[in-house]
Amino acid sequence: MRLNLKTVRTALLATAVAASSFVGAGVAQAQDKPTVVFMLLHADAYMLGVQRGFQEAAGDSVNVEVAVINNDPAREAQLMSQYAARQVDFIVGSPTSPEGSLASVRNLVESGVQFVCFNTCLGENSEELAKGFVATDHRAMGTEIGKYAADWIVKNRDGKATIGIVHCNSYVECQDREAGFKQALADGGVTATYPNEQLALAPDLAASITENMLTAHPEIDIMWGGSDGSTSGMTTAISNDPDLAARVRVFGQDISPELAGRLTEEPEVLIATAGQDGPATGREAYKMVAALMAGKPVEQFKVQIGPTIYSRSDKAGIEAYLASVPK
Amino acid sequence: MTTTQLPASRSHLLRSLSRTGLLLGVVILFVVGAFLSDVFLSVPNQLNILRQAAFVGIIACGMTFIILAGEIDISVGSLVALSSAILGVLVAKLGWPLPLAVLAVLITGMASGLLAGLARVLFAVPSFISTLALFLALRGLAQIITGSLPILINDPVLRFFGSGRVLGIPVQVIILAVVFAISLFVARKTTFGRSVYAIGGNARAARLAGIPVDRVRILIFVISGVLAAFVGVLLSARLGSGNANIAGGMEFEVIAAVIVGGTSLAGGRGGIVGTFLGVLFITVLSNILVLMGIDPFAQDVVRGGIVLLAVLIANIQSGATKSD
Repeated sequence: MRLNLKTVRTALLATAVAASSFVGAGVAQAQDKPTVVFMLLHADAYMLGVQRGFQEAAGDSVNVEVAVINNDPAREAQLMSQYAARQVDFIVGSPTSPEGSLASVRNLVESGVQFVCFNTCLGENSEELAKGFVATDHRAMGTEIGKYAADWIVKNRDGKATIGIVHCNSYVECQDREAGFKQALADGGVTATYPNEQLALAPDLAASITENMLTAHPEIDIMWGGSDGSTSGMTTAISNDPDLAARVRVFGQDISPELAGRLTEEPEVLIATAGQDGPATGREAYKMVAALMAGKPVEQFKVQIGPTIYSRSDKAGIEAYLASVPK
Repeated sequence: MTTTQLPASRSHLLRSLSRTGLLLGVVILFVVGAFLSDVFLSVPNQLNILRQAAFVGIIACGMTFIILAGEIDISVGSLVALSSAILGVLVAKLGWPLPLAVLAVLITGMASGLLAGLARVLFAVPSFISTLALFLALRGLAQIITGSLPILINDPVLRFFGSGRVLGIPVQVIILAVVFAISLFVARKTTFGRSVYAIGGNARAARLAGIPVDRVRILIFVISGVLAAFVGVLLSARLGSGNANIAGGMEFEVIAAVIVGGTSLAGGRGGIVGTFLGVLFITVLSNILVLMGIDPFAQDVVRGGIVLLAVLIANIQSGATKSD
């Protein structure tokens, strides 16, 4: 194969220089405004919604940067030390875990950067290190969808259900969701059995697991997904099989444009899901940052944002959600 | 002692299977599965296994050629995600006709493979490094173009490829069989297939023998890229959405299947039949663990342990442990 190596190398170098100039231009910021770094645990609909709510509330008053740590405490620590060295003004973040993130946040705060938690915080060290905490009540997320499911099961399945679960219990918050869901079913008078529980966060894995689970336990007639990905995967796997779609129904957690779409499509597999209100969380986080920028303490350290139930019977709620998502 | 002479091709096949020891492993897994779960041998479960094997299996065919040539491609999982993301954007957001969108996705896969191949051939960049760069970049690109949100795709033709059946057999299973058959033919009956083995065995000798080493190296990465992009389309069809967050870790599942199937990471040894068994082995194992309701955190430990055991047995049987 004859190729002019010199020409190709020159072209690649020129492309690299052009690309770096482009990127450099893109990150130029106004120097007179405070810089707020948004550290997202992962880039899902909820986290992006929080960021959007914050940015809409902040307008042009701050420079907002975004970092995604992909659930990795090592990356979180590395980024926090970089932001501490850069002396950014605020970090609004969702720590990976109270124990795993403690040292990183402590170093950050000791360097003078102010830290506001959302979604998760630092357990008993929260008030010592963070200036405020906008929390989602994950137990309430499970409880609210559990109440909805209990009513549905009592009306449509005589109060009995065999439930397959695809959870996300590698996170403490997901364990709270599951506990809330099961408790609400019991309180709602449902006789429930749980023959199989598996872990999956990604929709493709959740779809495979659902197929296997429903083959092993054909008596399962209700599925519960602990996260956006698991709810999506199980809904798809069931919808793809006419026999399963005729008898198995799904209750889930989280909301995304895709899940909103699943709530309107036939066959009726996904019945309802409890969504975190990302934009409202972002707006509350901005209120805290705005107070700190004005040199005032936050009014209330912990603000809890309740879940919203999105269901087939609430078309207006689904449309309102979809309208709020940027195209 | 009497011996029976087998036809050359059949004896080669049996030798290949017994060398990996994997056929026995798969049989044992089936027996264990049937013993532990009364639904394991049911037709729906067997079709589940084959359908789930399709995604890893199709990419594993391309990966077999890559590993046979002594290279590696760890960008395939990210390319699957990017392909799914592009399909979602083109069909659902930009309104492109499905065939045109699929063509664009396949061209993207081809371009990604071409990039890895050119980096290897022109700049002697080890394929692990170039595909590591792609692994990072392609996933990031997928998240940028979708905003990291799944995009619902409502297309009846795509839905057919996701959940349709022909004579009761899932479409993905038929596609898997076709891809394996073509790969087997290419590996065994074509000059290209022989060249891949020769390059993996000794690239310098292959070049001296007149084999167009650079062209073959580029081509295997292009094939791998196109197959990964194709799986991105199939996975989108199955999920009914374009999604940048799928196929995480798929590259390692694919590589594990190929290695378990007896293909040597050093190149030049192994083949498509072994890969088929490797894919089957790993998929059946995952199926049994879920059927049994094994604790999900323990599943990875069991899976990793059994894969390691399978490779150890294969190496002992093939004498590979004596080489160093």
